Amino acid sequence: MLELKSVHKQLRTQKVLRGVDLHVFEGENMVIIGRSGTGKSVLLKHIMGLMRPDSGEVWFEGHNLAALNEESIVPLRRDMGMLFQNGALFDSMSVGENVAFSLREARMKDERKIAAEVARALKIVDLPGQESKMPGELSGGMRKRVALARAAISRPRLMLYDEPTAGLDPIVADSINQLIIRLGNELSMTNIVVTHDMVSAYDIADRITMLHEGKAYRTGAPEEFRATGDTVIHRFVNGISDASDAVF
Amino acid sequence: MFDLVRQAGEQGIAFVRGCGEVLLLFLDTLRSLTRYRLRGHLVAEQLYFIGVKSVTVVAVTGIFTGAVFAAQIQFQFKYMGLNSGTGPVVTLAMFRELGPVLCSLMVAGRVGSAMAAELATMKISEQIDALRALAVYPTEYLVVPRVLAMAIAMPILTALCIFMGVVAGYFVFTQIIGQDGTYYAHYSSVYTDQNDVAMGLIKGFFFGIIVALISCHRGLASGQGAAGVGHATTDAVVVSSLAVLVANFFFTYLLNAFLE
Repeated sequence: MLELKSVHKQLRTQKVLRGVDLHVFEGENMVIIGRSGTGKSVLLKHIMGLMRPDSGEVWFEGHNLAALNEESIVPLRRDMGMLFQNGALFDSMSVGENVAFSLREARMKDERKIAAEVARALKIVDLPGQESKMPGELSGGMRKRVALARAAISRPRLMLYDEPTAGLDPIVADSINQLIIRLGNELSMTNIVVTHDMVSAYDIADRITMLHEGKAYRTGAPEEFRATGDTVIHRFVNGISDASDAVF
Repeated sequence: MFDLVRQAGEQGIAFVRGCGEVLLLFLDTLRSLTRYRLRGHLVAEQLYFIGVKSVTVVAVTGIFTGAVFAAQIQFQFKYMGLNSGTGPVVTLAMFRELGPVLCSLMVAGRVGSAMAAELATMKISEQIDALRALAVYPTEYLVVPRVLAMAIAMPILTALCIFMGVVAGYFVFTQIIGQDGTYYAHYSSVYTDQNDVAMGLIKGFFFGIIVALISCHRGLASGQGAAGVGHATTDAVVVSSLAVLVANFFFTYLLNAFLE
């Protein structure tokens, strides 16, 4: 479904991606882990076509996004959804308007049908009856749920999650993880989740890819990551630092 | 010395790049206007914000500009025995220069800053990326309604500014200075024709587009964080105000050549 071939990206003076290769199969839950600053979010933006690689290819459904202009990517994005790190809700719109955005963009005219779809989507993310609230009135977890409802309402085939549990308490984080799995199953979506929360990674993943020094360092099943003898992976998944990690 | 030259060079490059980016945004806006459906509700929202909400600011600007200008002209002209010249001078100045320029500067301060701040905030909070992720082309959704609303609202606001200025000038001339209003009205109508009206409104139209494009560009090109939003807002007002003043010089020559 999705394939990245030798993707390179430099932001200002920093080489963020140094030849990432990645293959994601239809219907799987792929979790991308890695330390802060290794380019996980940048990688997601390349998959969505929000960023262009300096070199390399991003293949989605037979199209190389790296070779298409912004307008040609727009129709392909209708098959994708993305949950941004802070939700990125439109703060001039109510929760209901945010969730209904894709439906109105798709020229759905029947307001009763739109309202029913919005209510259904909000119920799935456990926020029934919150249509009239404004984003500023919501907690971090609620914002992410609304953003998830907004992204999923058009039933995309590929869903991207950028740190879905960052900044949430463990209980809310777990509920978001369960929601991601449930949505993936109910809507038959392929999920790519970027996180550095290993509890979430083990919960969600069919396969895990670790980004390290701008490359896909290792891809494998969660069990392989748990049992690995590789120092880099072992230190990351178990949260073990050494002298070279000192920040002050 | 070397640093000074380098700084000047960097600023020169930034200026040329900025001009090029605004021009590209203008072309992209024109292309989006023809390629995508027009979002009437967004244009209406912007018209309300730009047009209706600016009425007070523009009216007050027009009133006091006309009033001060009439008083000042009268103070100077009375020594030359040119009392009857006050009306046409105020009227022509309001139509051709003061109305469109001051109206545009006030709108740049009120609306341009708000546009830049809104778009910059959307950018740093990833709302523009979210728009793109939801298969919406940002120029079409964010820039076209603002430019279109400015192009519609600015000639109307300019007309309001001019009208208030001329009326205020008349009021000062007759009620405060105590001159006969017949001369003011008569000579104003004699020396003002449709070309003066056209010049004011055409300038207002183009200045509106200039302010909207520069403000949107500064917002979309904003840096990260609160400082980025602050810089974008300040830049939008400063750059669009300067652009209006510079463009006014060229429009004056061009329109005089075409209309006279």
